Amino acid sequence: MLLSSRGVADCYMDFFTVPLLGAEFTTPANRGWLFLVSDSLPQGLEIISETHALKVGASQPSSLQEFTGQLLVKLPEGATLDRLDFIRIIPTTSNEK
Amino acid sequence: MESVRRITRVLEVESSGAIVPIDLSLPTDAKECFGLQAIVVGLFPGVDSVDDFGEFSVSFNGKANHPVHQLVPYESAQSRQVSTTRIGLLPLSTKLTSGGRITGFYRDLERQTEPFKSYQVRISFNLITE
Repeated sequence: MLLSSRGVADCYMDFFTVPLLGAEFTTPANRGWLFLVSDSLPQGLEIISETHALKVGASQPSSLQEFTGQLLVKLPEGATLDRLDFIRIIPTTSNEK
Repeated sequence: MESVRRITRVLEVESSGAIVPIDLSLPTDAKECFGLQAIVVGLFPGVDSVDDFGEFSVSFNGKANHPVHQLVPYESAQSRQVSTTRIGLLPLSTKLTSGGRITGFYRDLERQTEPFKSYQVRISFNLITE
């Protein structure tokens, strides 16, 4: 439903891990959709993409967090998070005419 | 009968570096969005005109279409007085499905000097309705 409503007939799917090697990290640009699966996110963490931006507050995000394209990840000072995991979906064929 | 309508929504930005989600719906009779404009509303005496005061991203039709991700400029009062042009309308040609959500975000790019002053961002959609 999530994909068919966007005109996607078939897609490639895998896990995508972003290693956090510094206070800021930018991923290569790609045309996939990234669905965040990591939990226990530190307060103040920012994940900014082309279609969605998340700043983690006192509580964890309650809904599915979906990002697109290139990501900018900003770690708050003192955070020990070393990676972020996503499910990545790249459309291969579409229903659009 | 087709007609043209302009719908405006206002976002409140209350902290430096704030990320303000956009989640709204347009009138169900809206068939197409042919223009979009985002304007910073507020005066910040310590800030010169900048092209990158904030950034915003907007997706239409439940994220099926993503035509806009761009910087939002700020024009200082002094520049505004001598300027002969105004921040323009971004032309679009996005067909709208009835009931489709408009989602995205606005992000403050921390161009204000301390202390931070809250402000608004006015986003206007130019629509063709029937």
